[in-house]
Amino acid sequence: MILSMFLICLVFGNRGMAEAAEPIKIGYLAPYVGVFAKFGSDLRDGFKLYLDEIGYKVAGRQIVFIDEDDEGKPEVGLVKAKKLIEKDQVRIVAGIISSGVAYAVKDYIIEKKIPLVITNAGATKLTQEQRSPFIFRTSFANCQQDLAGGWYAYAKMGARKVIMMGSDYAAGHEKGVGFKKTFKFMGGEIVEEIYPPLGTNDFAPYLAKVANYVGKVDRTWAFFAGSDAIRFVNQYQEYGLKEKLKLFCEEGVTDEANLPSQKEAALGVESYARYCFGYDSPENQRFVREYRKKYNYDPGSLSEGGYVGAKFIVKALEAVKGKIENQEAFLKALRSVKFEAPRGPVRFDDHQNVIFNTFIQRVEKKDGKYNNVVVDMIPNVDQYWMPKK
Amino acid sequence: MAFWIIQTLNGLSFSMMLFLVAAGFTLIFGLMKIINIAHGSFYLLSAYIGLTVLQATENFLLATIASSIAVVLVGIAMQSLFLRRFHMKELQQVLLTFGFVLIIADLCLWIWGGNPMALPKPSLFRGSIWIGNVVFPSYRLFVILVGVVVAVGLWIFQEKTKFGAIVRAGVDDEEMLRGSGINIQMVFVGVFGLGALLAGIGGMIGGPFVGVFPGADMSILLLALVVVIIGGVGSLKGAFVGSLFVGLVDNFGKALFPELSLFTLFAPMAIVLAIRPTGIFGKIEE
Repeated sequence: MILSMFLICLVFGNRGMAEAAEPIKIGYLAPYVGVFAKFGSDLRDGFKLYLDEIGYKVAGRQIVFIDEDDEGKPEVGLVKAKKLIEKDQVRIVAGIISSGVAYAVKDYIIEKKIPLVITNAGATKLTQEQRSPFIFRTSFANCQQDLAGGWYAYAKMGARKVIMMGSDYAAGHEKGVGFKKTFKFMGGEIVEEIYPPLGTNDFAPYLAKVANYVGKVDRTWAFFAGSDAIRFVNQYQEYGLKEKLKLFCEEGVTDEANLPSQKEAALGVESYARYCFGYDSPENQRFVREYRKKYNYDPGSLSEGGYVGAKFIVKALEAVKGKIENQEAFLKALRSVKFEAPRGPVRFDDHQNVIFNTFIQRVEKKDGKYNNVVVDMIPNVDQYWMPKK
Repeated sequence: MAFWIIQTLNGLSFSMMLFLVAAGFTLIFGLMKIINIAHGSFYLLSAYIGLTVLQATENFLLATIASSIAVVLVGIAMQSLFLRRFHMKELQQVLLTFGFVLIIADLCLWIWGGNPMALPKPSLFRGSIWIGNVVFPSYRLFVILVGVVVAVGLWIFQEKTKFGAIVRAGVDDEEMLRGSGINIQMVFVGVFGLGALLAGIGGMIGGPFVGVFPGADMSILLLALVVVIIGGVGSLKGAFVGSLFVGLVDNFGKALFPELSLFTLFAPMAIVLAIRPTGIFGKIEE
């Protein structure tokens, strides 16, 4: 009797102790140089804010956060992913801003059977044609909020003709496709599409083309990210276009990360977004307060993206009592996580891409600072959203 | 019509900025046969230092002076302490300058971080002006002005001053110059410093519209090389004509064929080289 009790303790007790001792390693990829550098640090700051809130511990296990710079380049992302999985033995890979990097690392990560929780990169195919039970996305798909934006431009802004300018890489084209889809569905016309290369410093040649359309189109749709967006908005104003042909952008263009560098040039610019800094829900107000307190700058959509990504992972870990080793259970738990995020209620669709409300926001100035405020909201936008005509 | 005016002025402003960088590069190569790969690094370092001084003082002129002095000192140190030891050994010199590129680039990354920044414009030129019914940023007109002034200044220097004559003599025949008793090392230091100064001014001038970011050194160097190859190495006239060519072709290429922007730049270069291998104003080496 005592012997069998002893044996039982050995079998179960040991395993419990080993698990409690061993930390859960989360690998993380983001760019810290190049066009997306600021977004990279925003994303990480948001992610770490949540880890801070729970004391880097879940179900008695320590969380170890291992951060690598993918430089926004697909080749580098792949090298760093290999390092995280093979050398650091991480259990989960999170992060990734650039869709290019996401497409490059996905095959390798799935082959190694590691869950990939994308906290930014909108690479559409990863939750559509190329989806996998190991890929989750807590941020947005390219052409998710863009679908809502296209409808809004036609139905609520009264736009009938639009000229499009986007960054010439995966995200730029995919988002353009999303906007175009609903805008044309409603009956609108796209007069021209211009895609300057990623990292363009000088938009002058392209803006001169847009100037030709003043008085002939209703809006300029724009998507640029990171430092490209800063230069684009500033130069859009310099060439006198801001007043003559209004912008309607994807949220990355006038994100809180860019506003301190854009200032007046961004004033009054409207965009569609998954996260609005000015959203006055209690959860968002708390989030903004905590973020400012810890980091001393305003959170943008990337900050919220990182925060939400971390929360999804931790909630799933809580649901399986920290036993990440039981991967089947963990993946199942992750699929069913839902909670109130700073952007509003979030949950996954059945392709493991997040569903959220889409805001229409505008940049306004208050007390000498520039921030986004809510103008309108379209609820429950998922990656296949279509309007009713 | 407005489209062509804007594009031409854009192209010209980019040309003038390129000229500043290319002129320095061609001077250094023409006299000392040094392919200074670190030339782009002078541009980058000057822009970063200028940015910091500008943020502290809000005075563009002061920032330009400070960054220029800094870059000239770095340039002179590079030449007199390092490059001088490998006189006429081109391969070693190129490798040495490449080493400096890596050191300076990493130093800048360490000090200023990876986030691309833009230099704020001088307060005098923040607005846009109307030319007919066309709106154009006044800063870019300022850049064109600076480029033209510098070009004229360099021409006067080269053709009308004694130092300019010495430099021209040195480019033509260095041995004779040594033979005539002139302290050639001082000449080298002077020219290298001048080259660095031009690149430094280029960095401050270009900073507001090209931006300041890791990698700016190589991208500007690449363009300067194209300018110098097309215009002919060692020739200031070539640098000016080459910059006009590159600036306008690059700009119109992007405007008319945005997806082919790299091709529209390098294809003309290949054509020019095929017709005239030494560039438009280049000399044939004896």
